[in-house]
Amino acid sequence: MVRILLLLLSFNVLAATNRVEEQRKYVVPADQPLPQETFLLGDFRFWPHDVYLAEDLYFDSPEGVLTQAGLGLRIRRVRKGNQPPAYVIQLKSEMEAPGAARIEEEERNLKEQSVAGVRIVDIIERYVAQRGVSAADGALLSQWLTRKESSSLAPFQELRRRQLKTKGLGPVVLGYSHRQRYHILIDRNERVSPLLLLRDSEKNELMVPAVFRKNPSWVWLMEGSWDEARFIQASGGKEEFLIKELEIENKYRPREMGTLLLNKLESLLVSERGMKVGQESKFFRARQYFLKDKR
Amino acid sequence: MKRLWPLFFLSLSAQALTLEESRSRCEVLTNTDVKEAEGRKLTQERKPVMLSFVRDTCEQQERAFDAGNFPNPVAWDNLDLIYHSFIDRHRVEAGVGLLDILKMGLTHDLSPYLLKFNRAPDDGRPAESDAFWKSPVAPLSEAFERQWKAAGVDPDFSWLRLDKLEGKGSVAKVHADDLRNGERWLIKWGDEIHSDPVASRIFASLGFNVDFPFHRGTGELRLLLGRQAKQKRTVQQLVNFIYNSYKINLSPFIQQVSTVTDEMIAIEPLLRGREGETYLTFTGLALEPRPSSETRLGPFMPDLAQNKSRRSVRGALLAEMWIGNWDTKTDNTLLTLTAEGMKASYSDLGVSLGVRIEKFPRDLKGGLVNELGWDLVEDDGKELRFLARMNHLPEAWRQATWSDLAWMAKQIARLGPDDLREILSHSGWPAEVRELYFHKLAERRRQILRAFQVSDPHTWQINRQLNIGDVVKNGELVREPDLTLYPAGLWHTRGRFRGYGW
Repeated sequence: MVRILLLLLSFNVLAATNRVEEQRKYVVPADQPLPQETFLLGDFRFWPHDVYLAEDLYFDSPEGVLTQAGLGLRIRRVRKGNQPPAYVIQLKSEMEAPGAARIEEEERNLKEQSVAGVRIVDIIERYVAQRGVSAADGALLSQWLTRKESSSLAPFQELRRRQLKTKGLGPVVLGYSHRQRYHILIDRNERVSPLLLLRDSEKNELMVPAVFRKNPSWVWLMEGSWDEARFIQASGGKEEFLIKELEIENKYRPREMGTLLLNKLESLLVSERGMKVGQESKFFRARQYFLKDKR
Repeated sequence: MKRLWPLFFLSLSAQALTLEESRSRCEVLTNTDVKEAEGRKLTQERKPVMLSFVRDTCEQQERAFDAGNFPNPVAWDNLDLIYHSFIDRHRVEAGVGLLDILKMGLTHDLSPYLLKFNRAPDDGRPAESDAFWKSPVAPLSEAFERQWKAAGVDPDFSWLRLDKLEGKGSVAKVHADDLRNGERWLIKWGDEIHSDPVASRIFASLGFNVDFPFHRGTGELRLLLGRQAKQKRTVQQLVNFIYNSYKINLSPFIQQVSTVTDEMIAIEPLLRGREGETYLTFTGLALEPRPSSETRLGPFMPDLAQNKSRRSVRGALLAEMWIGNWDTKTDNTLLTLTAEGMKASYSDLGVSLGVRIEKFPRDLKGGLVNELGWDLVEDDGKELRFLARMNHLPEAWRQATWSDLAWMAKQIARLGPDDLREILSHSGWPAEVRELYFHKLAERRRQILRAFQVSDPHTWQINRQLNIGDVVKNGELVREPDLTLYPAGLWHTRGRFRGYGW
């Protein structure tokens, strides 16, 4: 108690620094169900809000050039509620250490993209429906990636920056994921806890979700994302690799205080929920799984 | 056939383009690794909206190439415009140098000799409706309001919070944000706070895009000083900052210094957590939004090949002369990106409506009604000579034809007395000054219409010998209106470089 008080006092005067959001990843035990209702973990309340359904097609060369470079290139189709699907191509780097920031470059306007007269979104819809990329569609997507190598779209620019060619890249794994998002907060009216002494976050109030303005006793600490993903080989097949993971992002300011709160929540996730601190991306794990399988 | 030649040359120049050239510009605009272009170090942020727009445009070119119809001329024009605007912004940010000042002085001296136009037949061709100009619907006086509403601007507030202190340009100003939504605003003090809102409204009523300066009268706006590096800011800090940056004493412009009380918080929930904070009210000021819905790039480049021949760009010269705008440098044009696409605007129109330039000692002041001439045009039957001075004359204006100006004269003719009175009602000037401006602008408009033989659809009562009490005599302001309400002075000519005489 005294330790927490001292930490609160020493850190609430630290100024926020200009870094990217601090993010941590946890491997969830396979038997843990995805919580869809609000729940308390220690003093931290998980407040579910949006649900995303995403289908991710990852690309790599047969030799795994992107995996070796610590990169994941994917086309994501995502649905939120009843909204029509959105499409995005993203390039993400692997975490170099637990909690380290990842590079993420993306392009959201895929609707106009086509290759050999075929719209990319039509190919996406096809492989999502068929649960597998046909050889013909795979070849078209490879052709499109090669064509885009010199374009100004951000993921391709980043690949160029790293001197990686898109020629030879093709679909390797396909993931279907169900993602539950949570606001992680403390409610000052909920219970007596040392966190009641926590000062209001200094985060720009305009960047705080509207639900916190409606509930002034809530303090936004973190954002959570619980993901259940099933990966298959891009070409289809019955073999599945299941991944359950939880990602937590620091939203509290001063950021340093948020880090301490993250540490506290992390110890609860490990001790009470049996989670393990993770570092590798879902793609990396799935790719390793299927490569090992192949070997 | 004559009209087809420009299209022919445009298509020729477009055909000469290669995909590599297009990609090279795309790289400059989107790749942060590119640190230099056209001999300029690229230090300005490539904002997300610009990145997205440019990437879409570049992809249009790529698709045109795949489809065998490269280049896409619209995509190329957009890319060309953004490219030059983005690079020129670096010149603007570098500030005005000695050479620029000398050039401005020279143009000021020479402009009466350059602003001459031979009579010629009017081709009657209208301007195209595009990112540079759109024909406004009546009532014209509401065009300005329509523009700011479309941009999502909401000026209906009474509290702002002082943001960063950053001295730029020659008009005393600070950045502030709206307590309700964090939208950013500029607060300006001095001689432009009346003329800029009026000139911008006139330009909007003529179909041009403008920034959105609003005048706020005595006590109408409350500015919270807030904090800087966790320390409460003081009035002295603000006054010192304005003096050090602009050599202007802000004190006469401050009406009152107060602190936020619990009673105020009870009435205004936005002030929650700010009890005890200092706020100021002012004798008068101008507010200009920086809406988050718009991304400002750089100048819209009137002299770019694709713009030089635009009727609306060339014709704007007549509008500038009508309002007597002096500060016509390219920096005061602006290319912005919005959800609807590109927009070319005229900004900082406040050094107008009567400008006094002093060379020794150097000084500048706009919004001086006595400096706005009753006469604008001299007509010897063959040639029109305009009695106007400007600090910059883009090539587009030097190449302006009789027909370009005649087109503008027809736009000016649409503006009626009710429109002009409504526009002037937003100036914050005392009634006598407003009335004098009304008659002077009406007379200058009458001379324009007569010179270009445009019939007037409105009836005006113009009095060049206007008398109003003991303030306006024989069409001239003869006394200084209350200096406590108008500290920059509306009659005396001491301007910003002489601290308005304070």
